Amino acid sequence: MSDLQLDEVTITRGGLPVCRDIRLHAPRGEVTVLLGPNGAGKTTLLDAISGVIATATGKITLDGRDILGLRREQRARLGLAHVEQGRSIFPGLSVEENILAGARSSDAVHRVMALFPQLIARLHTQAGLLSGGEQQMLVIGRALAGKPSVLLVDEMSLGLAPIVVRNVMPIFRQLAHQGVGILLVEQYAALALEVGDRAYVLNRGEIVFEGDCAELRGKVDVLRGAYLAATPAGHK
Amino acid sequence: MIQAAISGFVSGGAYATLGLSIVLVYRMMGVLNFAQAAIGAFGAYVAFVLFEGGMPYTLAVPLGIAAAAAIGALLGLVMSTWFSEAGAEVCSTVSVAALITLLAAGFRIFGDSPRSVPDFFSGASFMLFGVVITATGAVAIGGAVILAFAIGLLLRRTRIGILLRALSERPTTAELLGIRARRLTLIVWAFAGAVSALAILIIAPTRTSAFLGLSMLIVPALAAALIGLLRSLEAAVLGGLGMGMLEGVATSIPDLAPYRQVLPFLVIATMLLWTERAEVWDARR
Repeated sequence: MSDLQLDEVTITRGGLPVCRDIRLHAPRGEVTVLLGPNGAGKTTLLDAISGVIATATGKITLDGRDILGLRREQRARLGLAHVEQGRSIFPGLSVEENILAGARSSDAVHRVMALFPQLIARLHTQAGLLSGGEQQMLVIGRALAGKPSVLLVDEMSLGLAPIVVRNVMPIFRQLAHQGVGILLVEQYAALALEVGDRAYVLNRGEIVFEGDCAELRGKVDVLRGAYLAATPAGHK
Repeated sequence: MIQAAISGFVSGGAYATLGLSIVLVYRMMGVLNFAQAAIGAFGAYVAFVLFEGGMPYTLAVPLGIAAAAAIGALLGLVMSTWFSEAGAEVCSTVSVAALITLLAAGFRIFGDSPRSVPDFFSGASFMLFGVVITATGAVAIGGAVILAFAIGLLLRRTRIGILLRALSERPTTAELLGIRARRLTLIVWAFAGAVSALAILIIAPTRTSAFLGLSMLIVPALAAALIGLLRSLEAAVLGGLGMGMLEGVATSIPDLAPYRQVLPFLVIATMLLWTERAEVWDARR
């Protein structure tokens, strides 16, 4: 089965363990939501999966292959895409060039434009001149240009207007239907749980909850205890 | 005066080409490579030694250029393996260490005596608007301009150019997209090394070609690169040509001639002051 699997993964930073004994499964065709308060280790975990941080032990497999010893670009070429926190566009490149930088096929620009038609008019605009929402669409589109099997998304909503987040979030559901596995780290718990299939809650570097998103939505105590995020304005 | 300025074409072309290498490595890799001219000098000396050993110069030159490319790639490998996350200051300091290493190795291997260097065009020249232009000068300038144009075109219009620009803007993000950072890094370093060797081979017949002296051409090359603010390939070429012509004029004025080596330092100091002018003036206010 094509998926991302973590077994007993421990990640250290500066010699200290930030995440301990993490077991996590993000299958293709599903949206897996990772929640947790600030400082819980969510970004560190994604960084270790994609290879930004090299100091991890345990086992991380992608489509059954152990990727822990591989370099970042090797992991990416195996089908792992990582949308980093903070809208990591290439500001000096145009929208089209940003997409081409991540492309694995000649139809990449066309596919991304079909997913985000708002970017069509901005195709030749320097990416640094886009609005925050457009930049976020671009980084997601650019990651998809590489036809990943698993997509890691870190705090997509950071610094974005809630209405933009609401517009972009359903894209992940759509991608999951197309067979991509999504591991979504998100501060807007309610919205994330709405589009997600399974959920994990990370607190102080340990998984404290694992189950269905629907189940977690009903566990107000778990959410309140481990994750206190604002719901975007207008969200019911 | 015009003839004197034109006589600086060879030096100007070489400074421009070296300046291009420096700008390319700085823009793409974020390293101000103080060893750039030394890498070129090492490659040029490999060519000279092979030529002195009986090898035809037309064969020795490509081998010398290949040697410089290999040294450049080796330095790029060191940078990408151990200093990929380091800042520009650390990487540039490493390049100073590389310069010292190359100077020591060059002195040990090649000695400090100037070599007799063949001139490809052996004094050929032509007249243009009443001014004598040497064939070497024309090739040096034409080569530098074509090279700047070609590099600019490659960076703007090709896929490898897009990947290089992406890598230079956000290296970690580029790697996360599957861009083969190390391979591209080695290509850039090797290319810059080869181009530097070419520049040194052009200028070597026109001056005392001791290894140390050729390695110290980094000073006018840095001045050229600074005129392009370490970003603009075109301005670096113009800067290099300007430096060469200024040097030519200075050489023709007896009172100035002994001090012509100081000119690059003046240009560097002026450019640094110019780039910092806003902060200095703001502090004054």
